[in-house]
Amino acid sequence: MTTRGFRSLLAVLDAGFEPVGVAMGAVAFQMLRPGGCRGVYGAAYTTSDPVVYPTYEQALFDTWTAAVTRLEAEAVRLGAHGVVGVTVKQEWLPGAPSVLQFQLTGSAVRVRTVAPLARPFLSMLSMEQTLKLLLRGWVPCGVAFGVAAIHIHKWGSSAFWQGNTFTNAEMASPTAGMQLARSRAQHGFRQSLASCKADGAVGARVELSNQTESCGGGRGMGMRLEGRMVGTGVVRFGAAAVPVDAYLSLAGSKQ
Amino acid sequence: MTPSDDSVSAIDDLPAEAITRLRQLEGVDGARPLFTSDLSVNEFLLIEDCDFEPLGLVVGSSIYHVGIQVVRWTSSRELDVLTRAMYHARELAMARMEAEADELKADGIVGVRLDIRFYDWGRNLAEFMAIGTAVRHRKGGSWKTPAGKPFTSDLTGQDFWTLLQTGQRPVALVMGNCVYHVAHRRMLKALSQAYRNLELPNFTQALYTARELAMERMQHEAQQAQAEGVVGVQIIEKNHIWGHHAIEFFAIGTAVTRYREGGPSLRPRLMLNLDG
Repeated sequence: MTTRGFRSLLAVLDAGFEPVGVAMGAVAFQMLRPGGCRGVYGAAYTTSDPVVYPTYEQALFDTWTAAVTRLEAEAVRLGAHGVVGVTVKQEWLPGAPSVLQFQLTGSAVRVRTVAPLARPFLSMLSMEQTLKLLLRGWVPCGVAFGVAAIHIHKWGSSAFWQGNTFTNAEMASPTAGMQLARSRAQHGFRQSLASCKADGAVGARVELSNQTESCGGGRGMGMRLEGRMVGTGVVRFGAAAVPVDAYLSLAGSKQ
Repeated sequence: MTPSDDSVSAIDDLPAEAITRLRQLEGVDGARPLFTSDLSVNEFLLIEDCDFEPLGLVVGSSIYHVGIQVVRWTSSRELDVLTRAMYHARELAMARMEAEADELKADGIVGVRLDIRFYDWGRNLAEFMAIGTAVRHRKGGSWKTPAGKPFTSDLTGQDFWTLLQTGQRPVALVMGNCVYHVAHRRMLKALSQAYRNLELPNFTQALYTARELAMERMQHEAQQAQAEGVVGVQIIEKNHIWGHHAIEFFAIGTAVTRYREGGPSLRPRLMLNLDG
């Protein structure tokens, strides 16, 4: 059983792997979301600098780690060497808004002649992509994750309060907040990547979402930014086995 | 007015968090150096095949308040305040991304994407973001722009590989824009033209002029970068938040120049794909 189609199965077999089943790691975690910069986790602000929510970031990261651990455990139970095509689903449960669910699902694969690994590899790449990497001397080694949560104050993001109601101007506070959110997500991602002993990552994505939240003390509504970076770690194991070639494909041509 | 006059005079210092992250990628904190990238597997393998190594994901952004400009309802003209804002914010984002690449001692940035998002948390507030993967050539060489900055390119890894095979290399991501107000028709004129097939010259002329201005500005940037041509040009038209009669024309492409003499180093083979 695999999570992808027939073509993916062919690639699995061609690389010397055999599918052993669908593996899943899921966790539902009750989590107190920050209630504004004077809320549950934050401190009262005295400057226009963005506020970081470190406890909330850590809670998000712990949830992710728990889901990954369960996915790896399930892969080990299946006798797999790795899980490919891992998809990540993250959602606040609609019926229980303080419960965050992380669900990781993928196809567990193994090489019949090789002894089990202490820790199976995880990859968000499809088996076709994994096969290309293998042929060029690279192998996926883990899924890395970084997260950030930042508050931007209302007055810092208001052109009126900044004295630029009618003119062009860069908004310093939200710009700094965005940069900080991306940097913190990338910083966490890099640490997660290092723990996989990767040489680097491919297919990484940095996503930012924003939500209005109270600034506290009757100071209006600010913004909470949540950054997330996910990607697949890769490590070099040898030289490329095949050269890169170019061809002209007639597929899709109407002429 | 040309938007290029509104150049970034001084690049702000990178945030402390960004510098820490970039140094960690280089491995200066005693850790093993490692790269991050948003390249697909195909792009990653092809860029590696060109002897470039990815160094890290680089990002620049700017939250910008776009000013207000009032024009007569019946006049077709460029909205220069908006043109300047849209150009300057993109330039700030690009400059910050280049500064990050410089910090990594990169030769260039590939797969650059420029995105704009308008937020509901402030009127006329938009985020301009530039993101790409910084790369360095393993054998050195002069890959930087004439101004000594890392080259930038919005080509995919596949197009980048193909371009290098032809003896050309990217120099810089070049862009030009124009926000234009297209005049409304007067009521009597609109009524007299109702139910008939006919060209509307003022609309045609306005759109033509705006497109030409954007293209001309992009070409000007390419000349400044001492390029021989521009490939992969896209002209994007968007109203953003200004209603139907104010349109931004944005031209963007990768300026290229020849880096070695001779023809393509690889002749493609013809293959018939049996997929339907």
